[in-house]
Amino acid sequence: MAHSERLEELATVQALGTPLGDEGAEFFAHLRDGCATCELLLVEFREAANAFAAEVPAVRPRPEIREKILASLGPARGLGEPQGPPLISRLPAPPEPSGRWVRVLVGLAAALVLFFIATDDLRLRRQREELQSQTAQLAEHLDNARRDLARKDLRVRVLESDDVKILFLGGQGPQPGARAKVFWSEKAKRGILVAGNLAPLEPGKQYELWVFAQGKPVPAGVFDADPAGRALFESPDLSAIASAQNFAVTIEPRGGVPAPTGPIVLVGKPS
Amino acid sequence: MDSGLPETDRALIARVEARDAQALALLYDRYASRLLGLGQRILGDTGEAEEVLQEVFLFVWRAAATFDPARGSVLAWLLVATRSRAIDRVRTRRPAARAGLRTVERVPDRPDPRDVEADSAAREWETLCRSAIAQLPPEQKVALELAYFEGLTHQEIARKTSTPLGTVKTRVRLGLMKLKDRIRPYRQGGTHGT
Repeated sequence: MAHSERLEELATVQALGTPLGDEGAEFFAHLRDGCATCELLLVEFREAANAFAAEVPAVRPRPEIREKILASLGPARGLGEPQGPPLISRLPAPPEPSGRWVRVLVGLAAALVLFFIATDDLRLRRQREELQSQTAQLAEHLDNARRDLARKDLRVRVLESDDVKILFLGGQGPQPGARAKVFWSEKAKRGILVAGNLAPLEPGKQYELWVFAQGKPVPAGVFDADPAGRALFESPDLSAIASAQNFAVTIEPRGGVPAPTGPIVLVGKPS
Repeated sequence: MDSGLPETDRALIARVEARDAQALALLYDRYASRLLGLGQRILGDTGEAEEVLQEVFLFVWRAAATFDPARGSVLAWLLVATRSRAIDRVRTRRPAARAGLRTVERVPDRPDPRDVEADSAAREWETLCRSAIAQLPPEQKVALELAYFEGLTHQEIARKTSTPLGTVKTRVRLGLMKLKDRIRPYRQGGTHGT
């Protein structure tokens, strides 16, 4: 698989630790093929992303946290002794009387059992968290796929329906240069608006689409334009209306309003 | 160390691999404040951030042998371990709880000057990173911050910023490319055994 800009883009996603979805298999296969460029980019992108950690103020942990971590390593695991001054509390020296010696051994055995239970619990908790994380990622991926499928289905139903009408909307009022088309299917009672040359809106404002039925405007959803002034918007199901006579777009408070209050920027008539 | 020179991070990791708890303690003293700050920034909750900090250092203790210097510095390894655990916790939260916790702003403790300022390598890294981020166009910086601190996917960033998905992908890629090029001097000359 040849190195490409798209694979570099996947390297950024992987470096940021966000789910790669279906493209993950392709990207990892590419890495297994031995792409040194992507391997290096992945390392460099990870380091680059970590630059944001430098913006965060350091926060000094409470001293107990350090003690807790070091105590949980414990020489009781038989994993070696620290060098220099002891950081981990050492085991008590064996007492002379044999009765006490037995009690210490029993106590030590109990401590070991407790330690292994705690370690195992930590491992299980970590596994559970990882599984929960994977489940959440898969659920999100499934949701996205369902939404994409629904959108594509809608487009097919509207654009390929035998009754699709194309309505041209012209700029009005504050935006005379705005232009749009609405692809409307009377059967599906849905429309797709494709707009261009829309002006950026002040914060708290959104464009709202209206469909005129029996002479009255019915809200058909709100949308934003991209930085280039373009918008592609699919209306919700408008089966409550008998027939669409006309369309218009106004500027309204973010989230939309039930009846138009702002200036009309686009308006048209069915051809 | 008899020489009085600080040991490199890599040397400390090698000692941790050999089950030297003091080496882990030195790594902790070197980076715990930074990692706790990052965890707190992502989680918005000090208690959870402290749990993540403990998990990370126990992970280092268990898995020091898996550190691969070819895949980045020790600091990068620790930051990735901290961030991924914190983001995992954020993602498992219910959306409502997640939104609520995100708004919590805690005032961090003053960093201990011994932890932060005495380390010239850390200062160099911080300065370089802050300068590199300051030079990013605002829209690239916002997209990368949403991905890094909130763990948002490209799609989620697009929805949150009302920006086309393709534009978000481009901003993230260009932003990381610029950061990568600007922090390269540190990668090539880092002093902590990067």
